[in-house]
Amino acid sequence: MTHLPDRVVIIGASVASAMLIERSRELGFAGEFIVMDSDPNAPYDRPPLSKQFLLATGPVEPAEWWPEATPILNAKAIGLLTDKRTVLTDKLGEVVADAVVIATGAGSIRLPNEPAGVLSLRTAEDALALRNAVDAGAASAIIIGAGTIGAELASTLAQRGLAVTVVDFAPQPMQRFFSGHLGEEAKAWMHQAGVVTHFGVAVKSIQKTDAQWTVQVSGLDLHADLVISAVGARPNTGWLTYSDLDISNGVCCTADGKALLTTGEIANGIFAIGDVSARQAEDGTFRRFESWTQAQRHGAALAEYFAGFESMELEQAPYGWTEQFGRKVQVHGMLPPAGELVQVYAAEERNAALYRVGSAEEDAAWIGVNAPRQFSRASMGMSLLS
Amino acid sequence: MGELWVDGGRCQGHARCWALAPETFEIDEEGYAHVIPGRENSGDEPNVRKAIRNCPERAILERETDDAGEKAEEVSTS
Repeated sequence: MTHLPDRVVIIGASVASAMLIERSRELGFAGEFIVMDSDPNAPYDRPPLSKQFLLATGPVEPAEWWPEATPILNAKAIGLLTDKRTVLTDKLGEVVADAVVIATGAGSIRLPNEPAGVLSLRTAEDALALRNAVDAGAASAIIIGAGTIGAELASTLAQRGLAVTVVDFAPQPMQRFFSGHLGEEAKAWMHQAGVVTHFGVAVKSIQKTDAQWTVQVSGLDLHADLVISAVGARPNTGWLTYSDLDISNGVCCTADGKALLTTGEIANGIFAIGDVSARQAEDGTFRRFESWTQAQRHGAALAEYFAGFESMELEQAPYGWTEQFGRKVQVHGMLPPAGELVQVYAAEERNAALYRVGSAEEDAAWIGVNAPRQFSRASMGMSLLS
Repeated sequence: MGELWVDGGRCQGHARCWALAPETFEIDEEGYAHVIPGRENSGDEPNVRKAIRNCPERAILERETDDAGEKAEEVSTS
């Protein structure tokens, strides 16, 4: 049976919502999509903001993947009446629809008592502010947080000639992305590029004196022209505070994206896709995947649900990537933190390696470094030969 | 449906297309993709549609067949 709405309102012009629209049209959906986003630069692609964009000149380019025929209204959602499927907005009044799709993504976590002037990277505006600061002659930067964004920024800023220092409370770079694996390798990539690292340290204070910043970490004062906070992201659910949706960890949803009320019941006609959406796993817990590919799958799966057929999109293993220090890093599957890491391929002349993590069975997880061919073969369950 | 080609300027070597539709896409050692010769018209097949949708760089394009020769050049230089 189909669940085709006539009028769908989407909050957030994201990669997830683009896929929802595109896949719906492909499946013959003839209804109306109303898309709003409060970011004046939307739609744009986020992955390049920490990389190519900082090395280039010119404005943020509109995303190639946005469906041209669907306009984006510049408005901010400020509330939701779930029982009436009505979105309250700052500029458009009340928008009523048959289906409401929440795709507001995630925003940077700011440090407690963070002083004004500390940079961050999530939006096009953030990236532009950072690039302007570098263009204006900043010679050094302290990056707080060595997740994928922090590590990518370290790589890009080092490439731009800045003296870069990375600090993190975690014992290694990209602790979460790698589930605790490859820590020494990722540190070595940083060190070879001249990046100074301090892991396992807490930030005690951040202060600006004259033109320089001082970041005090456990027993050490660090100085630089720029301080960038890259400690992670939290789902953008502030506007839903007074709704009756369960927003205890992003928008809590069923496995296929139907939003749940605080009572635990499904909120009829309300869905969440992308980074803002926490999906219920088989063990009952809610999980968020901050992943470009997962966001796409959420969008495609919802389109397929609307069209009334069983979607296989969410059955696929997670896929994530990062590019840094001349390396393209790809991860397939859920890396088991306690799983054994085995290197199964290496080509040192091009810094290439492939690692299997955990079981050798079909459901093994893989990490590829500059080895897309071997990585793809492995994650398809094929032999590495040829 | 037009003829499929991979824009070498956009392709970043994720190799998703090859994972989803190996009968149509092939990748080189660096992960850069191209359409297997003879498979340029497979754009209607479900696996290929899926590959096109899932390319993070939107590098798989379709074009009208009348300027095929010119674009084919572009692909081979990537």
